[in-house]
Amino acid sequence: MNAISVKNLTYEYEENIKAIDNISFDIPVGSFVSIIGKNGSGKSTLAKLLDGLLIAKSGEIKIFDLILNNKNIKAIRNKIGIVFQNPDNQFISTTVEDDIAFGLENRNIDSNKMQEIVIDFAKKVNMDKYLNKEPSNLSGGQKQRVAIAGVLALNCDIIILDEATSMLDPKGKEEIRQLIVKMKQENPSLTILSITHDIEEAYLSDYIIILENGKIIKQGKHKDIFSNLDELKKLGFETPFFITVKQELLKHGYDFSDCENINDLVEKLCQLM
Amino acid sequence: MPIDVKDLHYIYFKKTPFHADALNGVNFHIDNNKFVAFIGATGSGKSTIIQHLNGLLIPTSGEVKVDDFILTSNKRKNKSISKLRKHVGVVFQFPEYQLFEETVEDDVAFGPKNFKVGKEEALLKAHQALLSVGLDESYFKRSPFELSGGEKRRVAIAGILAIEPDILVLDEPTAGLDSRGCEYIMSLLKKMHDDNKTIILVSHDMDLVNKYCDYVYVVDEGKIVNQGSPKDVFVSQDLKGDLEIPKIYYFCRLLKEKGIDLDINSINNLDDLMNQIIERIKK
Amino acid sequence: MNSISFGRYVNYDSFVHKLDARSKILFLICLMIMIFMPFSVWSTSLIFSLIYFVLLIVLMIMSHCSFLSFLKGILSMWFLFLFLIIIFIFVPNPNMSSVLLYQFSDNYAIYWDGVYQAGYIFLRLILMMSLTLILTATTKPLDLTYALEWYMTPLKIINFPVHTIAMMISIALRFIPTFLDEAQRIMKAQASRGVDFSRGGLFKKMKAVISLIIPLFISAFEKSQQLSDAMEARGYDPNSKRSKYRKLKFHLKDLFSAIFVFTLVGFIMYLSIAHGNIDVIDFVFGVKVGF
Repeated sequence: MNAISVKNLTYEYEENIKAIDNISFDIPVGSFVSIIGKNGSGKSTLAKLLDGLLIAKSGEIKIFDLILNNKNIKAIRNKIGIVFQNPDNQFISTTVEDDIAFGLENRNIDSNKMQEIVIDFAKKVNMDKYLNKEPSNLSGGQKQRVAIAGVLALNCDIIILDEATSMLDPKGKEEIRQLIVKMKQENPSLTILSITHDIEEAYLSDYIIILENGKIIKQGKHKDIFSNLDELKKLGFETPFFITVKQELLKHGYDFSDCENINDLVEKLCQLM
Repeated sequence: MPIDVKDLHYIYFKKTPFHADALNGVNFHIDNNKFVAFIGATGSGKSTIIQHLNGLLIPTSGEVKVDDFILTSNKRKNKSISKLRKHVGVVFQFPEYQLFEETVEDDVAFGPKNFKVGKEEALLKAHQALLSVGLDESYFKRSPFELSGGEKRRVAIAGILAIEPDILVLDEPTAGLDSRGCEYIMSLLKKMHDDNKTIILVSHDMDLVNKYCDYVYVVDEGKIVNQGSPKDVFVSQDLKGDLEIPKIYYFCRLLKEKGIDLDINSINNLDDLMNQIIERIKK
Repeated sequence: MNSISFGRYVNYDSFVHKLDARSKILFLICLMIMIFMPFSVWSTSLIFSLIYFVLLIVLMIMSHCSFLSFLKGILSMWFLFLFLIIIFIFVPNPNMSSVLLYQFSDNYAIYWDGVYQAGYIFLRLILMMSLTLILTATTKPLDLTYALEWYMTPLKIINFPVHTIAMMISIALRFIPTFLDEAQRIMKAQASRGVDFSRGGLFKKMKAVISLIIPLFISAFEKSQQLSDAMEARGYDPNSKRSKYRKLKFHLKDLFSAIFVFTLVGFIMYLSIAHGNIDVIDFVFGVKVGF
């Protein structure tokens, strides 16, 4: 079954300037998909279309078996959680705990049960020590973790990360990447759609869609995309360091293609030396 | 213009319940035409340091000396701040948020005009600055607000360049840009550096720092805890966990943890690293 | 934000901090009424004012408010005092019949009574403001908002959008520090481009302000757009029923404080209404002081 299914989607900002140009793709339930593209490729527009914050000119978006339209939008919002780019502008309440609770309040969850849920999800993103802290005392990475907790607490089936790490420092980026991996392990049926220009982040996902000028120029499974580095380079993407090292070694005749991560690779290299 | 900073202390919200020591005795000296970087975790005090260089912040104690401009805690002595700002241009993080004029050229000309340059000449300087950041005539009359993020940032940087400072200070100039945008900005700075300007950078992107800078200061808890050439710093310093080091050196470290010691001093890029590894395997 | 003055919320764990915001608002109103209860004998008024000040200082110590910044706050109100003096002393008042201060001419004179009245009003204003500032220094802005929302709940009957207004206030409270930071950052960025916000002619100053205001507005619009997207994405709908995470709770502390405050206020009100012309010094010491 598909969690998200997009057919012939087109969106124009102004007459004849297509931000999204007739794209179609399917995202099966429980998969982790990255949509990558450079600044201005249309990827943020796509995220807003998927959550109904923008309305497409033509084409169809289906979330599970619901077609995205005005009638279904509430039901669909209950299934999708979005984490946006700017950590500050999505921190709605004045403290961490209030912000995690914001969505729960909207769902009219019983006040007495809420505290338990809030603490539970604050723990999941490792922010339980900061419950009464205000956003001005938090780092960008911490604010994004709070946003993720707020979304997770709503028990969504789909999580969209709309460039959630692009404004963070390296530490913040790493925190969020690890959190995504953990999220996926804890709930395999969760569908994650990550929209990003960070190739290290896309590397975590199992399916990649490459967007340019509003069109899909390439899509494929993790292995297919990352086995052809020259093509990725041609499209203007830096390649993940770990893959580059593997490929360099392959050029010298050493095949490490079965290594899954950098620690693996180092381990195997050490055995050879 | 050499920069001399001596025993610089800065306290935010002095004598209030929100009192916070930002800098605790910072000393450094930067010579002409250097390309240096301040690195450190968020909140370590890097940004506070660079805001002293053009008098946006006044030292709580200690002294900042740029050429013969001296800033101290004694406010009466700091008369020439406006002159200082002509020589030290500071570009803030996400500078695209400072644009406000109707056209790109007007916005860039705003700086020179403030420093009492005539209208015509200011526009001329603006055009030069815009061309030097790679924005041609077709951009001059456009509204800055309809440009893309990367272009806006270049306009904002041009806005400082048009003042023709001798020292260019930038806080995270590549934040939020994709890899293509990052490389563009950095190559631009390299060009300025070749043009005899001093470039001072605050950055989190260690790969870029490693590639472009010739001297690095590591800031932690309001103090400079290490300094040297990028390689010296990345190799010698046991950097705190939240500071990323360039990926090739990170790889060396992983190998070192497993007992494989490479000759790090002769590794400057990925090829060097690969050659050493291959050599070791062949042995 | 370089000027943090008396009245800004500071996080301590004091008795006053822990009181429920609703009771604090109620106490504030009661205490204000108490302060303004009139006594006709001036020495009595003065004595009660002194008592109120002692109570105020005790309250300030209890709530960790800095006495120094309190004094600074009062000193910065000198112009108000001057204003009051001018109004009460120099504006002729036909009812003034007490001791003459200075005779300017045959039909214009000033009286001690005016000084006394100016001082009376000034003392009370200081007391009132200090109490209000203690409230804001010891209560989270958000809790204050919730408390006000609670007091306004009856207005829901006439379809007054109580919840929407409370939400607006709480979002404003959340973003005020962000905007101040933003304004400071833009000011610094423009200062780096040679703008001098303090000097220059009118035209220069206007240009300086424009260079601050426009970017600030643009960023505010962008922020509000993104914020509303984020709220919408998390299912916010002002018209549907929402539950509340933060429950205001009355504790035993509130009860004890209420008993204390009501007794005090009740006693003073009784004195003022039933024995408004009491002369405390005469009553206690049997001595008459006065002009």
